[in-house]
Amino acid sequence: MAAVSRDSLPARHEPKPEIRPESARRSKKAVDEVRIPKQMMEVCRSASLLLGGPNIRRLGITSTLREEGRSSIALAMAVVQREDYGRVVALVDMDLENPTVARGHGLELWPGLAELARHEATSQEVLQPLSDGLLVVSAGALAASAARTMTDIVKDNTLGELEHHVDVIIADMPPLLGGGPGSAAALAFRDLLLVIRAGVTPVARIKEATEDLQVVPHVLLNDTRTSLPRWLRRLTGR
Amino acid sequence: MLRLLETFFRHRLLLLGPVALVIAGSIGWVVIQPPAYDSSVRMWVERQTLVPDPNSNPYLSPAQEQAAVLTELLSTKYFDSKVGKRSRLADSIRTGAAGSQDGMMTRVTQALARALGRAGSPAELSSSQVDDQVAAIISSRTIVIPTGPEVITLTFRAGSSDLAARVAQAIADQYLEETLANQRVQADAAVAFYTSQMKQSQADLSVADKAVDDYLLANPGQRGANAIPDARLVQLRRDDDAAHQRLQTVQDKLDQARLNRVALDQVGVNGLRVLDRAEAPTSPSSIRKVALEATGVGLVLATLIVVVGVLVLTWMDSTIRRPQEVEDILDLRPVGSVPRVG
Repeated sequence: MAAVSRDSLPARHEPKPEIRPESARRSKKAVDEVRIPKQMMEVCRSASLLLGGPNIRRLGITSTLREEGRSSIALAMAVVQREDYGRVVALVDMDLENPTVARGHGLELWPGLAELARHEATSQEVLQPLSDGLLVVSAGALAASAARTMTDIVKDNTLGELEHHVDVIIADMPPLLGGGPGSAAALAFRDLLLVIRAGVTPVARIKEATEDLQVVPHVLLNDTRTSLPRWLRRLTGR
Repeated sequence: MLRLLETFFRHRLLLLGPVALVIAGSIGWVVIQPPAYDSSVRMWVERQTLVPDPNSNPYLSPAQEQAAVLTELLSTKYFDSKVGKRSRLADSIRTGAAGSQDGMMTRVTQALARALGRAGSPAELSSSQVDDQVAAIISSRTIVIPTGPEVITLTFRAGSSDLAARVAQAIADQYLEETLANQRVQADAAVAFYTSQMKQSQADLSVADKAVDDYLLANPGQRGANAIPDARLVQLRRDDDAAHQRLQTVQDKLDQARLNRVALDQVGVNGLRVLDRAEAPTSPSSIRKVALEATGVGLVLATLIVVVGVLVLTWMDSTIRRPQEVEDILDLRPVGSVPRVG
Protein backbone atom coordinates (compact mmCIF):
# COMPACT_ATOMS: atom_id res chain seq x y z
CA MET A 1 0.00 0.00 0.00
CA ALA A 2 1.18 3.48 -0.79
CA ALA A 3 0.89 5.80 2.17
CA VAL A 4 1.54 9.49 2.48
CA SER A 5 1.11 11.55 5.61
CA ARG A 6 -0.92 14.65 5.89
CA ASP A 7 0.85 17.94 6.02
CA SER A 8 -0.19 21.46 6.79
CA LEU A 9 -1.08 23.29 3.64
CA PRO A 10 -2.48 26.67 2.68
CA ALA A 11 -5.02 28.14 5.01
CA ARG A 12 -8.52 27.46 3.87
CA HIS A 13 -12.01 28.45 4.55
CA GLU A 14 -13.61 26.51 7.35
CA PRO A 15 -17.33 25.98 6.85
CA LYS A 16 -19.68 26.82 9.58
CA PRO A 17 -19.93 23.94 12.05
CA GLU A 18 -23.70 23.90 11.99
CA ILE A 19 -23.88 23.29 8.25
CA ARG A 20 -20.95 20.86 8.01
CA PRO A 21 -22.31 17.48 7.01
CA GLU A 22 -22.07 14.52 9.29
CA SER A 23 -19.74 12.72 6.91
CA ALA A 24 -17.21 15.49 7.15
CA ARG A 25 -17.08 15.23 10.93
CA ARG A 26 -16.49 11.53 10.79
CA SER A 27 -13.21 9.80 11.35
CA LYS A 28 -10.22 11.60 10.01
CA LYS A 29 -8.12 8.53 9.62
CA ALA A 30 -8.63 8.46 5.85
CA VAL A 31 -7.02 11.85 5.62
CA ASP A 32 -3.90 10.61 7.33
CA GLU A 33 -3.42 7.69 5.11
CA VAL A 34 -4.20 7.18 1.43
CA ARG A 35 -4.47 3.47 0.86
CA ILE A 36 -4.28 2.21 -2.70
CA PRO A 37 -3.71 -1.41 -3.69
CA LYS A 38 -0.15 -2.03 -4.75
CA GLN A 39 -1.09 -3.61 -8.08
CA MET A 40 -3.22 -0.64 -8.98
CA MET A 41 -0.33 1.68 -8.09
CA GLU A 42 2.04 -0.24 -10.34
CA VAL A 43 -0.34 -0.14 -13.28
CA CYS A 44 -1.01 3.57 -12.77
CA ARG A 45 2.73 4.17 -12.56
CA SER A 46 3.21 2.59 -15.99
CA ALA A 47 0.18 4.37 -17.38
CA SER A 48 1.42 7.68 -16.04
CA LEU A 49 4.72 7.19 -17.83
CA LEU A 50 2.96 6.39 -21.10
CA LEU A 51 0.82 9.51 -20.72
CA GLY A 52 3.81 11.82 -20.28
CA GLY A 53 4.99 11.27 -16.72
CA PRO A 54 6.29 14.56 -15.27
CA ASN A 55 5.07 16.53 -18.29
CA ILE A 56 1.39 16.04 -17.69
CA ARG A 57 -0.30 19.32 -16.80
CA ARG A 58 -3.94 18.36 -16.78
CA LEU A 59 -5.37 14.86 -16.95
CA GLY A 60 -9.05 13.97 -16.96
CA ILE A 61 -10.05 10.56 -15.70
CA THR A 62 -13.40 9.53 -17.08
CA SER A 63 -15.46 6.47 -17.83
CA THR A 64 -18.39 5.45 -19.95
CA LEU A 65 -20.73 4.67 -17.08
CA ARG A 66 -20.64 4.90 -13.31
CA GLU A 67 -19.06 2.24 -11.10
CA GLU A 68 -16.12 1.59 -13.39
CA GLY A 69 -13.45 2.50 -10.82
CA ARG A 70 -12.83 6.03 -12.07
CA SER A 71 -12.31 7.68 -8.66
CA SER A 72 -9.87 5.03 -7.43
CA ILE A 73 -7.79 5.35 -10.59
CA ALA A 74 -7.84 9.15 -10.32
CA LEU A 75 -6.57 8.98 -6.75
CA ALA A 76 -3.88 6.48 -7.72
CA MET A 77 -2.72 8.65 -10.63
CA ALA A 78 -2.54 11.64 -8.30
CA VAL A 79 -0.47 9.71 -5.77
CA VAL A 80 1.87 8.50 -8.54
CA GLN A 81 2.46 12.08 -9.67
CA ARG A 82 3.24 13.07 -6.12
CA GLU A 83 5.37 10.11 -5.12
CA ASP A 84 7.29 9.47 -8.32
CA TYR A 85 7.87 12.97 -9.58
CA GLY A 86 7.52 15.01 -6.38
CA ARG A 87 4.96 17.27 -7.99
CA VAL A 88 2.23 19.16 -6.20
CA VAL A 89 -0.98 17.57 -7.33
CA ALA A 90 -4.57 18.77 -7.26
CA LEU A 91 -7.14 16.01 -7.37
CA VAL A 92 -10.27 17.78 -8.58
CA ASP A 93 -13.67 16.24 -8.11
CA MET A 94 -15.55 17.28 -11.24
CA ASP A 95 -18.37 14.81 -10.74
CA LEU A 96 -20.73 17.55 -9.62
CA GLU A 97 -23.81 15.37 -9.41
CA ASN A 98 -22.27 12.58 -7.42
CA PRO A 99 -19.11 13.83 -5.67
CA THR A 100 -17.23 11.17 -3.74
CA VAL A 101 -13.64 12.29 -3.32
CA ALA A 102 -14.06 14.71 -0.43
CA ARG A 103 -16.64 12.57 1.33
CA GLY A 104 -14.52 9.47 0.91
CA HIS A 105 -11.55 11.07 2.63
CA GLY A 106 -13.39 12.99 5.30
CA LEU A 107 -12.73 16.38 3.75
CA GLU A 108 -14.98 19.40 3.54
CA LEU A 109 -17.62 19.19 0.81
CA TRP A 110 -17.41 22.93 0.14
CA PRO A 111 -16.19 25.35 -0.90
CA GLY A 112 -15.07 23.58 -4.02
CA LEU A 113 -15.02 23.76 -7.77
CA ALA A 114 -18.56 25.13 -8.01
CA GLU A 115 -17.76 27.99 -5.63
CA LEU A 116 -14.53 28.68 -7.51
CA ALA A 117 -16.45 28.87 -10.79
CA ARG A 118 -18.90 31.31 -9.20
CA HIS A 119 -15.99 33.32 -7.78
CA GLU A 120 -17.32 32.79 -4.29
CA ALA A 121 -14.03 31.26 -3.16
CA THR A 122 -10.40 31.61 -4.15
CA SER A 123 -8.17 28.87 -5.44
CA GLN A 124 -6.35 28.68 -2.15
CA GLU A 125 -9.58 28.32 -0.27
CA VAL A 126 -10.78 25.35 -2.28
CA LEU A 127 -7.53 23.39 -2.16
CA GLN A 128 -7.75 20.96 0.75
CA PRO A 129 -4.69 18.97 1.74
CA LEU A 130 -5.06 15.20 1.69
CA SER A 131 -1.40 14.48 2.22
CA ASP A 132 1.94 16.08 1.63
CA GLY A 133 1.76 17.71 -1.83
CA LEU A 134 -1.55 16.09 -2.62
CA LEU A 135 -4.47 18.50 -2.58
CA VAL A 136 -8.13 17.85 -3.15
CA VAL A 137 -10.71 20.17 -4.66
CA SER A 138 -14.18 18.99 -3.81
CA ALA A 139 -17.09 19.46 -6.19
CA GLY A 140 -18.70 22.12 -4.02
CA ALA A 141 -22.33 23.07 -3.71
CA LEU A 142 -24.31 23.56 -6.90
CA ALA A 143 -26.23 26.78 -7.32
CA ALA A 144 -27.41 25.93 -10.82
CA SER A 145 -27.70 22.73 -12.75
CA ALA A 146 -24.64 20.53 -13.05
CA ALA A 147 -24.56 21.03 -16.81
CA ARG A 148 -24.70 24.81 -16.45
CA THR A 149 -22.00 24.82 -13.79
CA MET A 150 -19.78 22.55 -15.88
CA THR A 151 -20.21 24.80 -18.90
CA ASP A 152 -19.10 27.77 -16.77
CA ILE A 153 -16.11 25.84 -15.46
CA VAL A 154 -14.96 24.97 -18.97
CA LYS A 155 -15.78 28.36 -20.50
CA ASP A 156 -14.08 30.37 -17.75
CA ASN A 157 -11.12 27.99 -17.58
CA THR A 158 -11.60 27.56 -13.86
CA LEU A 159 -9.02 24.77 -13.84
CA GLY A 160 -6.51 27.27 -15.19
CA GLU A 161 -6.79 29.20 -11.95
CA LEU A 162 -5.85 26.09 -10.01
CA GLU A 163 -2.88 25.45 -12.26
CA HIS A 164 -1.17 28.51 -10.78
CA HIS A 165 -0.94 26.74 -7.43
CA VAL A 166 -0.14 23.16 -8.41
CA ASP A 167 2.07 21.31 -10.88
CA VAL A 168 -0.55 18.98 -12.22
CA ILE A 169 -4.32 18.61 -12.10
CA ILE A 170 -5.88 15.16 -12.00
CA ALA A 171 -9.64 15.40 -12.46
CA ASP A 172 -12.17 12.83 -11.41
CA MET A 173 -14.67 13.54 -14.18
CA PRO A 174 -18.31 12.55 -14.49
CA PRO A 175 -19.07 9.56 -16.72
CA LEU A 176 -19.49 10.34 -20.40
CA LEU A 177 -22.91 8.70 -20.65
CA GLY A 178 -25.88 8.83 -18.34
CA GLY A 179 -27.13 12.31 -19.08
CA GLY A 180 -24.50 14.08 -16.98
CA PRO A 181 -22.05 16.78 -18.02
CA GLY A 182 -19.32 14.28 -18.84
CA SER A 183 -18.91 15.30 -22.47
CA ALA A 184 -18.82 18.97 -21.54
CA ALA A 185 -16.17 18.33 -18.89
CA ALA A 186 -14.02 16.51 -21.46
CA LEU A 187 -13.62 19.77 -23.37
CA ALA A 188 -11.37 21.07 -20.57
CA PHE A 189 -8.71 18.40 -21.15
CA ARG A 190 -6.18 17.56 -23.80
CA ASP A 191 -5.30 14.32 -22.06
CA LEU A 192 -8.08 11.92 -21.19
CA LEU A 193 -7.85 8.56 -19.53
CA LEU A 194 -10.92 6.39 -20.09
CA VAL A 195 -11.42 3.80 -17.39
CA ILE A 196 -13.25 0.70 -18.62
CA ARG A 197 -14.37 -1.99 -16.23
CA ALA A 198 -13.46 -5.27 -17.90
CA GLY A 199 -16.33 -7.59 -18.67
CA VAL A 200 -18.98 -5.08 -17.67
CA THR A 201 -19.19 -2.11 -20.00
CA PRO A 202 -20.67 -2.99 -23.41
CA VAL A 203 -18.56 -2.09 -26.42
CA ALA A 204 -21.48 -0.27 -28.03
CA ARG A 205 -21.77 2.08 -25.05
CA ILE A 206 -18.03 2.75 -25.05
CA LYS A 207 -18.14 3.62 -28.74
CA GLU A 208 -21.17 5.80 -28.19
CA ALA A 209 -19.36 7.61 -25.38
CA THR A 210 -16.11 8.20 -27.24
CA GLU A 211 -17.36 9.05 -30.72
CA ASP A 212 -18.05 12.72 -29.87
CA LEU A 213 -14.89 13.35 -27.87
CA GLN A 214 -12.55 15.94 -29.35
CA VAL A 215 -9.48 14.11 -28.07
CA VAL A 216 -8.70 10.43 -28.44
CA PRO A 217 -8.66 9.02 -24.93
CA HIS A 218 -6.19 6.50 -23.62
CA VAL A 219 -7.75 3.47 -22.02
CA LEU A 220 -7.08 1.87 -18.67
CA LEU A 221 -8.79 -1.48 -18.28
CA ASN A 222 -9.94 -1.92 -14.70
CA ASP A 223 -10.83 -4.99 -12.72
CA THR A 224 -9.51 -7.50 -15.23
CA ARG A 225 -9.68 -11.11 -14.22
CA THR A 226 -9.11 -14.34 -16.03
CA SER A 227 -11.47 -17.17 -15.30
CA LEU A 228 -8.98 -19.78 -16.48
CA PRO A 229 -7.80 -22.11 -13.74
CA ARG A 230 -4.18 -21.86 -12.69
CA TRP A 231 -3.10 -25.06 -14.44
CA LEU A 232 -4.55 -23.83 -17.72
CA ARG A 233 -2.91 -20.43 -17.33
CA ARG A 234 0.42 -22.18 -16.86
CA LEU A 235 -0.27 -24.33 -19.89
CA THR A 236 -1.15 -21.39 -22.12
CA GLY A 237 1.50 -19.09 -20.68
CA ARG A 238 -1.01 -16.47 -19.53
CA MET B 1 -9.87 -20.35 -28.49
CA LEU B 2 -8.77 -18.85 -25.18
CA ARG B 3 -11.80 -16.61 -25.21
CA LEU B 4 -14.01 -19.67 -25.57
CA LEU B 5 -12.18 -21.39 -22.73
CA GLU B 6 -12.57 -18.31 -20.56
CA THR B 7 -16.27 -18.23 -21.34
CA PHE B 8 -16.57 -21.85 -20.34
CA PHE B 9 -14.80 -21.39 -17.00
CA ARG B 10 -16.63 -18.12 -16.31
CA HIS B 11 -20.03 -19.74 -16.79
CA ARG B 12 -19.07 -23.25 -15.74
CA LEU B 13 -22.01 -23.68 -13.38
CA LEU B 14 -24.47 -22.46 -15.98
CA LEU B 15 -23.01 -24.80 -18.59
CA LEU B 16 -22.41 -27.82 -16.40
CA GLY B 17 -25.85 -27.64 -14.79
CA PRO B 18 -27.68 -28.86 -17.90
CA VAL B 19 -24.93 -31.42 -18.46
CA ALA B 20 -25.56 -32.81 -14.97
CA LEU B 21 -29.27 -32.90 -15.76
CA VAL B 22 -28.61 -34.81 -18.97
CA ILE B 23 -26.44 -37.32 -17.13
CA ALA B 24 -29.10 -37.73 -14.45
CA GLY B 25 -31.70 -38.16 -17.19
CA SER B 26 -29.59 -40.83 -18.90
CA ILE B 27 -29.17 -42.74 -15.66
CA GLY B 28 -32.88 -42.41 -14.96
CA TRP B 29 -33.69 -43.65 -18.44
CA VAL B 30 -31.60 -46.76 -17.91
CA VAL B 31 -33.18 -47.38 -14.52
CA ILE B 32 -36.81 -47.13 -15.69
CA GLN B 33 -36.37 -49.42 -18.67
CA PRO B 34 -38.53 -52.55 -18.31
CA PRO B 35 -36.79 -55.94 -18.54
CA ALA B 36 -36.25 -56.98 -22.14
CA TYR B 37 -35.87 -60.46 -23.60
CA ASP B 38 -33.81 -61.31 -26.65
CA SER B 39 -34.61 -64.32 -28.77
CA SER B 40 -32.43 -65.38 -31.70
CA VAL B 41 -32.77 -67.51 -34.80
CA ARG B 42 -29.75 -68.76 -36.71
CA MET B 43 -30.16 -69.42 -40.42
CA TRP B 44 -27.89 -71.22 -42.83
CA VAL B 45 -27.51 -69.53 -46.18
CA GLU B 46 -25.45 -70.76 -49.09
CA ARG B 47 -25.10 -70.02 -52.73
CA GLN B 48 -27.67 -71.89 -54.79
CA THR B 49 -26.14 -74.40 -57.10
CA LEU B 50 -29.19 -76.19 -58.40
CA VAL B 51 -31.25 -73.04 -58.87
CA PRO B 52 -28.87 -70.23 -59.84
CA ASP B 53 -29.68 -66.75 -58.53
CA PRO B 54 -29.03 -64.10 -61.21
CA ASN B 55 -28.78 -61.36 -58.55
CA SER B 56 -26.04 -63.09 -56.59
CA ASN B 57 -23.04 -60.84 -55.84
CA PRO B 58 -19.78 -62.83 -56.00
CA TYR B 59 -17.95 -60.27 -53.83
CA LEU B 60 -20.18 -60.74 -50.79
CA SER B 61 -20.54 -63.80 -48.64
CA PRO B 62 -23.97 -65.44 -48.84
CA ALA B 63 -24.64 -64.39 -45.23
CA GLN B 64 -23.85 -60.74 -45.95
CA GLU B 65 -26.02 -60.82 -49.04
CA GLN B 66 -29.02 -62.37 -47.34
CA ALA B 67 -28.64 -60.22 -44.21
CA ALA B 68 -28.83 -57.12 -46.38
CA VAL B 69 -31.92 -58.44 -48.12
CA LEU B 70 -33.60 -59.33 -44.84
CA THR B 71 -32.78 -55.92 -43.35
CA GLU B 72 -34.35 -54.28 -46.39
CA LEU B 73 -37.44 -56.37 -46.02
CA LEU B 74 -37.72 -55.54 -42.31
CA SER B 75 -38.01 -51.89 -43.19
CA THR B 76 -41.12 -52.53 -45.28
CA LYS B 77 -44.60 -52.39 -43.88
CA TYR B 78 -45.64 -55.23 -46.22
CA PHE B 79 -43.18 -57.69 -44.67
CA ASP B 80 -43.67 -56.48 -41.08
CA SER B 81 -47.45 -56.73 -41.23
CA LYS B 82 -47.15 -60.31 -42.46
CA VAL B 83 -44.77 -61.07 -39.59
CA GLY B 84 -47.22 -59.35 -37.24
CA LYS B 85 -50.03 -61.59 -38.36
CA ARG B 86 -47.89 -64.72 -38.34
CA SER B 87 -46.55 -64.07 -34.85
CA ARG B 88 -49.85 -62.72 -33.47
CA LEU B 89 -48.03 -59.55 -32.52
CA ALA B 90 -50.76 -57.60 -34.28
CA ASP B 91 -53.38 -59.31 -32.13
CA SER B 92 -51.41 -58.48 -29.01
CA ILE B 93 -51.26 -54.83 -30.01
CA ARG B 94 -54.92 -54.76 -30.88
CA THR B 95 -55.91 -56.17 -27.51
CA GLY B 96 -53.33 -54.14 -25.61
CA ALA B 97 -51.46 -57.17 -24.39
CA ALA B 98 -48.31 -55.95 -26.04
CA GLY B 99 -48.09 -53.05 -23.61
CA SER B 100 -45.48 -54.85 -21.64
CA GLN B 101 -43.01 -54.41 -24.45
CA ASP B 102 -43.25 -50.62 -24.40
CA GLY B 103 -40.89 -48.50 -22.41
CA MET B 104 -41.93 -47.00 -19.10
CA MET B 105 -42.27 -43.55 -20.61
CA THR B 106 -44.55 -44.81 -23.39
CA ARG B 107 -46.73 -46.63 -20.90
CA VAL B 108 -46.93 -43.61 -18.60
CA THR B 109 -47.77 -41.34 -21.54
CA GLN B 110 -50.43 -43.73 -22.80
CA ALA B 111 -51.93 -44.06 -19.33
CA LEU B 112 -52.04 -40.29 -18.92
CA ALA B 113 -53.59 -39.82 -22.34
CA ARG B 114 -56.19 -42.44 -21.52
CA ALA B 115 -56.92 -40.83 -18.16
CA LEU B 116 -57.40 -37.48 -19.86
CA GLY B 117 -59.68 -39.07 -22.43
CA ARG B 118 -57.42 -38.01 -25.27
CA ALA B 119 -56.60 -41.45 -26.53
CA GLY B 120 -58.80 -44.34 -27.45
CA SER B 121 -58.40 -47.76 -25.98
CA PRO B 122 -56.16 -50.19 -27.88
CA ALA B 123 -59.23 -52.05 -29.09
CA GLU B 124 -60.20 -49.02 -31.12
CA LEU B 125 -57.07 -49.12 -33.22
CA SER B 126 -57.67 -49.44 -36.93
CA SER B 127 -55.88 -52.14 -38.89
CA SER B 128 -53.68 -49.50 -40.48
CA GLN B 129 -52.68 -48.18 -37.06
CA VAL B 130 -51.94 -51.70 -35.89
CA ASP B 131 -49.80 -52.30 -38.97
CA ASP B 132 -47.95 -49.08 -38.30
CA GLN B 133 -47.23 -50.09 -34.74
CA VAL B 134 -46.19 -53.58 -35.80
CA ALA B 135 -43.84 -52.15 -38.41
CA ALA B 136 -42.38 -49.69 -35.91
CA ILE B 137 -41.80 -52.39 -33.32
CA ILE B 138 -40.35 -54.98 -35.68
CA SER B 139 -38.08 -52.63 -37.60
CA SER B 140 -36.69 -51.02 -34.46
CA ARG B 141 -36.19 -54.13 -32.33
CA THR B 142 -34.79 -56.58 -34.82
CA ILE B 143 -31.09 -57.01 -35.42
CA VAL B 144 -29.79 -59.06 -38.34
CA ILE B 145 -26.09 -59.88 -38.26
CA PRO B 146 -24.08 -62.17 -40.54
CA THR B 147 -22.20 -64.08 -37.84
CA GLY B 148 -20.23 -66.13 -40.35
CA PRO B 149 -19.85 -66.50 -44.11
CA GLU B 150 -22.98 -68.62 -44.26
CA VAL B 151 -24.79 -68.01 -40.98
CA ILE B 152 -27.19 -65.18 -40.20
CA THR B 153 -28.25 -64.46 -36.63
CA LEU B 154 -31.57 -62.74 -36.29
CA THR B 155 -32.43 -61.31 -32.84
CA PHE B 156 -35.69 -59.76 -31.71
CA ARG B 157 -36.15 -57.92 -28.41
CA ALA B 158 -39.48 -57.80 -26.63
CA GLY B 159 -40.96 -57.23 -23.23
CA SER B 160 -41.88 -60.88 -22.78
CA SER B 161 -39.83 -63.96 -23.56
CA ASP B 162 -42.69 -65.70 -25.32
CA LEU B 163 -43.36 -62.78 -27.65
CA ALA B 164 -39.66 -62.39 -28.42
CA ALA B 165 -39.41 -66.03 -29.50
CA ARG B 166 -42.62 -65.92 -31.51
CA VAL B 167 -41.72 -62.83 -33.47
CA ALA B 168 -38.11 -63.91 -34.10
CA GLN B 169 -39.28 -67.23 -35.48
CA ALA B 170 -42.02 -65.56 -37.50
CA ILE B 171 -39.49 -63.22 -39.12
CA ALA B 172 -37.30 -66.14 -40.13
CA ASP B 173 -40.23 -68.18 -41.43
CA GLN B 174 -41.67 -65.24 -43.32
CA TYR B 175 -38.29 -64.53 -44.88
CA LEU B 176 -37.88 -68.11 -46.04
CA GLU B 177 -41.37 -68.05 -47.46
CA GLU B 178 -40.84 -64.74 -49.21
CA THR B 179 -37.56 -65.88 -50.74
CA LEU B 180 -39.03 -69.17 -51.86
CA ALA B 181 -42.17 -67.56 -53.24
CA ASN B 182 -40.09 -65.08 -55.15
CA GLN B 183 -37.98 -67.81 -56.69
CA ARG B 184 -41.04 -69.87 -57.52
CA VAL B 185 -42.61 -66.95 -59.30
CA GLN B 186 -39.44 -66.52 -61.33
CA ALA B 187 -39.28 -70.23 -62.12
CA ASP B 188 -42.96 -70.27 -63.17
CA ALA B 189 -42.37 -67.31 -65.39
CA ALA B 190 -39.38 -69.07 -66.97
CA VAL B 191 -41.41 -72.25 -67.60
CA ALA B 192 -44.26 -70.26 -69.14
CA PHE B 193 -41.88 -68.31 -71.32
CA TYR B 194 -39.96 -71.32 -72.61
CA THR B 195 -43.20 -73.25 -73.20
CA SER B 196 -44.43 -70.52 -75.51
CA GLN B 197 -41.00 -70.40 -77.17
CA MET B 198 -41.20 -74.17 -77.61
CA LYS B 199 -44.50 -73.93 -79.42
CA GLN B 200 -43.15 -71.26 -81.71
CA SER B 201 -40.02 -73.30 -82.47
CA GLN B 202 -42.09 -76.39 -83.23
CA ALA B 203 -44.23 -74.39 -85.66
CA ASP B 204 -41.11 -72.97 -87.33
CA LEU B 205 -39.68 -76.48 -87.66
CA SER B 206 -42.87 -77.78 -89.24
CA VAL B 207 -42.78 -74.97 -91.82
CA ALA B 208 -39.11 -75.66 -92.62
CA ASP B 209 -39.74 -79.44 -92.99
CA LYS B 210 -42.71 -78.82 -95.25
CA ALA B 211 -40.71 -76.43 -97.44
CA VAL B 212 -38.01 -79.08 -98.01
CA ASP B 213 -40.62 -81.78 -98.76
CA ASP B 214 -42.51 -79.52 -101.17
CA TYR B 215 -39.34 -78.65 -103.03
CA LEU B 216 -38.33 -82.28 -103.40
CA LEU B 217 -41.83 -83.10 -104.63
CA ALA B 218 -41.59 -80.42 -107.24
CA ASN B 219 -38.05 -81.40 -108.22
CA PRO B 220 -37.82 -85.23 -108.26
CA GLY B 221 -34.30 -85.04 -109.73
CA GLN B 222 -33.03 -83.76 -106.46
CA ARG B 223 -34.27 -86.81 -104.55
CA GLY B 224 -31.55 -89.20 -105.62
CA ALA B 225 -28.84 -89.97 -103.13
CA ASN B 226 -26.17 -89.06 -105.66
CA ALA B 227 -27.99 -86.03 -106.97
CA ILE B 228 -26.10 -82.78 -106.61
CA PRO B 229 -28.43 -80.45 -104.63
CA ASP B 230 -29.08 -77.11 -106.18
CA ALA B 231 -28.68 -73.82 -104.30
CA ARG B 232 -32.33 -73.56 -103.39
CA LEU B 233 -32.44 -77.01 -101.79
CA VAL B 234 -29.24 -76.33 -99.90
CA GLN B 235 -30.77 -73.15 -98.46
CA LEU B 236 -33.98 -74.93 -97.49
CA ARG B 237 -32.07 -77.71 -95.73
CA ARG B 238 -29.98 -75.16 -93.83
CA ASP B 239 -33.14 -73.42 -92.64
CA ASP B 240 -34.53 -76.76 -91.57
CA ASP B 241 -31.38 -77.61 -89.60
CA ALA B 242 -31.46 -74.21 -87.89
CA ALA B 243 -35.09 -74.75 -86.89
CA HIS B 244 -34.13 -78.12 -85.43
CA GLN B 245 -31.30 -76.55 -83.46
CA ARG B 246 -33.48 -73.76 -82.09
CA LEU B 247 -36.09 -76.25 -81.02
CA GLN B 248 -33.46 -78.30 -79.23
CA THR B 249 -32.09 -75.25 -77.41
CA VAL B 250 -35.52 -74.13 -76.27
CA GLN B 251 -36.31 -77.68 -75.22
CA ASP B 252 -33.15 -77.74 -73.05
CA LYS B 253 -34.04 -74.44 -71.40
CA LEU B 254 -37.59 -75.53 -70.79
CA ASP B 255 -36.34 -78.71 -69.17
CA GLN B 256 -33.99 -76.66 -66.94
CA ALA B 257 -36.79 -74.27 -65.95
CA ARG B 258 -39.09 -77.17 -65.11
CA LEU B 259 -36.31 -78.75 -63.09
CA ASN B 260 -35.79 -75.51 -61.17
CA ARG B 261 -39.47 -75.22 -60.47
CA VAL B 262 -39.69 -78.77 -59.21
CA ALA B 263 -36.51 -78.29 -57.14
CA LEU B 264 -38.00 -75.28 -55.39
CA ASP B 265 -40.63 -77.56 -53.91
CA GLN B 266 -37.89 -79.45 -52.11
CA VAL B 267 -36.79 -78.21 -48.65
CA GLY B 268 -33.41 -76.40 -48.54
CA VAL B 269 -32.92 -76.22 -52.25
CA ASN B 270 -33.16 -72.41 -52.24
CA GLY B 271 -30.04 -72.24 -50.06
CA LEU B 272 -31.83 -71.11 -46.90
CA ARG B 273 -32.75 -73.14 -43.83
CA VAL B 274 -33.19 -72.52 -40.14
CA LEU B 275 -30.45 -74.04 -38.00
CA ASP B 276 -31.52 -72.89 -34.53
CA ARG B 277 -35.14 -72.10 -33.99
CA ALA B 278 -36.13 -69.24 -31.67
CA GLU B 279 -36.55 -70.24 -28.06
CA ALA B 280 -38.13 -68.29 -25.25
CA PRO B 281 -35.26 -66.87 -23.15
CA THR B 282 -35.34 -67.76 -19.48
CA SER B 283 -33.79 -64.52 -18.21
CA PRO B 284 -33.92 -60.90 -19.35
CA SER B 285 -31.08 -59.65 -21.48
CA SER B 286 -28.32 -57.47 -20.07
CA ILE B 287 -28.99 -53.75 -19.72
CA ARG B 288 -25.50 -53.07 -21.05
CA LYS B 289 -26.80 -52.15 -24.48
CA VAL B 290 -29.37 -49.74 -23.06
CA ALA B 291 -26.74 -48.29 -20.74
CA LEU B 292 -24.30 -47.84 -23.62
CA GLU B 293 -26.98 -46.19 -25.74
CA ALA B 294 -27.96 -43.88 -22.91
CA THR B 295 -24.32 -43.03 -22.26
CA GLY B 296 -23.72 -42.30 -25.93
CA VAL B 297 -26.80 -40.14 -26.27
CA GLY B 298 -26.02 -38.40 -22.97
CA LEU B 299 -22.46 -37.65 -24.03
CA VAL B 300 -23.50 -36.30 -27.40
CA LEU B 301 -26.20 -34.15 -25.82
CA ALA B 302 -23.91 -32.88 -23.08
CA THR B 303 -21.19 -32.00 -25.58
CA LEU B 304 -23.73 -30.23 -27.72
CA ILE B 305 -25.01 -28.21 -24.77
CA VAL B 306 -21.50 -27.17 -23.72
CA VAL B 307 -20.32 -26.31 -27.24
CA VAL B 308 -23.45 -24.40 -28.23
CA GLY B 309 -23.62 -22.75 -24.82
CA VAL B 310 -20.02 -21.56 -24.97
CA LEU B 311 -20.45 -20.28 -28.52
CA VAL B 312 -23.66 -18.44 -27.70
CA LEU B 313 -22.32 -16.94 -24.47
CA THR B 314 -19.12 -15.84 -26.22
CA TRP B 315 -21.10 -14.36 -29.05
CA MET B 316 -23.38 -12.53 -26.61
CA ASP B 317 -20.49 -11.14 -24.58
CA SER B 318 -20.08 -7.63 -25.94
CA THR B 319 -17.64 -6.38 -23.34
CA ILE B 320 -13.93 -5.72 -23.33
CA ARG B 321 -11.90 -8.17 -21.29
CA ARG B 322 -8.31 -7.87 -22.47
CA PRO B 323 -6.08 -4.90 -23.37
CA GLN B 324 -5.60 -6.37 -26.84
CA GLU B 325 -9.32 -5.99 -27.45
CA VAL B 326 -9.10 -2.27 -26.69
CA GLU B 327 -6.94 -1.88 -29.77
CA ASP B 328 -8.70 -4.44 -31.92
CA ILE B 329 -12.30 -3.50 -31.19
CA LEU B 330 -12.21 0.12 -30.02
CA ASP B 331 -9.17 1.27 -31.96
CA LEU B 332 -7.97 3.08 -28.83
CA ARG B 333 -4.62 2.89 -27.10
CA PRO B 334 -4.51 0.89 -23.86
CA VAL B 335 -2.10 2.12 -21.21
CA GLY B 336 -2.61 -0.66 -18.68
CA SER B 337 -4.93 -3.07 -17.04
CA VAL B 338 -5.62 -3.25 -13.34
CA PRO B 339 -6.23 -6.78 -12.09
CA ARG B 340 -9.14 -7.46 -9.80
CA VAL B 341 -8.13 -6.89 -6.19
CA GLY B 342 -9.31 -9.39 -3.62
